[in-house]
Amino acid sequence: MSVRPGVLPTALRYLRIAGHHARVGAVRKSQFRVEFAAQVVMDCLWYAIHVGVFEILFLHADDIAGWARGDIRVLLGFLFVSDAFMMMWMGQHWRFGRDLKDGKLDPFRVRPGSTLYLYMFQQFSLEAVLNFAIGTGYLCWALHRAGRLFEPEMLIVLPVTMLLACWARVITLVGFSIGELLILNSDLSKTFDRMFAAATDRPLDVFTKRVQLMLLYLVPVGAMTHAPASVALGRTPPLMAVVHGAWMLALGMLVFAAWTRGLRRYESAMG
Amino acid sequence: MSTAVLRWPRLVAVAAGYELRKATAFRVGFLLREVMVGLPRPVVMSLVYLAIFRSRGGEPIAGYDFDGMVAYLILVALMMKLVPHEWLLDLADQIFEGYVTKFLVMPFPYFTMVLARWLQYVAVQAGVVLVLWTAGALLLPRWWPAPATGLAFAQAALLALLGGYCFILTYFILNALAFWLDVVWTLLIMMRFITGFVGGLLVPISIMPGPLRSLFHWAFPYWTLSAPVELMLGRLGTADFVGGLKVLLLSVVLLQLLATVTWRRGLARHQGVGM
Repeated sequence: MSVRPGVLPTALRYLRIAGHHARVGAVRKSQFRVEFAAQVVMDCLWYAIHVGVFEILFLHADDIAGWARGDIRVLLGFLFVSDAFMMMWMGQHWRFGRDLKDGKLDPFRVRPGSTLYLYMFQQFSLEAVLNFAIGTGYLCWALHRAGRLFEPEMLIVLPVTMLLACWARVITLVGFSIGELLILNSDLSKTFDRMFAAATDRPLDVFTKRVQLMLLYLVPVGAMTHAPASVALGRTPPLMAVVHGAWMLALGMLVFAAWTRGLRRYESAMG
Repeated sequence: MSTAVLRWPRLVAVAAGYELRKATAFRVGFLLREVMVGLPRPVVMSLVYLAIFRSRGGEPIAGYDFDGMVAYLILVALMMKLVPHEWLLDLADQIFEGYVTKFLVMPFPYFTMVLARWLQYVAVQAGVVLVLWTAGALLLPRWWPAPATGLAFAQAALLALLGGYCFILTYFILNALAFWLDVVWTLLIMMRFITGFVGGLLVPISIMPGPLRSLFHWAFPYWTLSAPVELMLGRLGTADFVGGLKVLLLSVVLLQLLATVTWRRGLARHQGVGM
């Protein structure tokens, strides 16, 4: 008779696996120093262009849908943080469609652990750690300029909202990849990611109420940027923030369950 | 005229046919990639500009009112579809995996395949753009932009085509850097970020600050995306077109030269033997 391990031992086991992935990723990057520098520069360029676009737009307007320049900077800070988190741990998701086609998921299915976790979090990127630090630095600067960084509640609000932004990124990426499990060779994962990316770096207030709800609660790309920025800026009441967090947790569980169910359709035995 | 000169365009056409078959092998992916990608961003940006114009009380920005801005965003998104993307070539993979050598023993220059892939891409995208433009004109006649004149359309098309060729040459050069570097994908992505910004994909160059405008007027992405759109909207004229043509022709010559030098030098040091 098998005994199910408790939550804590399971969490510790996955943390140990993450530690091993991080060690392997760091060793790999020590052999590709040009790649390390190029990726840091690439992400910084991406940050600079996002900041540049909004700084130019704010030359022509005092606010965008009720968001002032300082508020948008906070929103962009969360975008950079959640993107760096994705680059740090989930780089493999870009190859998901290809790996499915090539039957490369099989080795992960036979390992004693969650296939989803072992596959999606297998590639640790050391350079993204630096980018995460840069993104966090920008976010803190933006919050400071908005007069929020040194508010006492930020000791809890800042880490929780950063966690929420990263969690929303995980949910959306995993959710998008379910399409690929349903229709092989469809490129659905990348296509959805690119389509919805347009909504991540803008305040959701530019959309109608229904679209806002969809982007916050169903395809939660707004939970990567708009929702955490609203909470950090004090635009969302605390109770609403707690409810939103609870929903995101539940949605994550639903998405992971759907992904695991979708994987049953996968019939390759090539790996 | 020698038979070699006659044979080459035929080879390009045959290779383009094969590229098309490869691209359309998986239909769902093909349809999603070719039709959907690039469309949500102008929709979202239109809403952002709507908010900006509301905050200004409807006052125009550098001659753009809201309708004009929507027209710009629609045309620039359609124009962007004609521009080759950074993953169109796989030369870097061929170099890394050592099988670029198998193409070198074939009785035609390697660049034939690059050209064929670009031509196939432009042909397919031109069809997609035509379908999207027609559908948009039928469904959203209030918002859908039409070229100011036939001449403006022809001028814009020529600039976009020449600019697209500059893009493919640039991607070829960046891919060929794989002869020296372990990683080139980051360079390709950086190129996409820069060209999108310099080309005015989200923000028209004419509403940017003066020093940026002056700088970007010397760069081919501006003349590939933003300037052809402004020609079609009647905001630029024939004098601007001639200026743009000069910049693009100069860019083509310089990039072609750089591509030749990079390719030759890279091949001279390449040691792959895969077939």
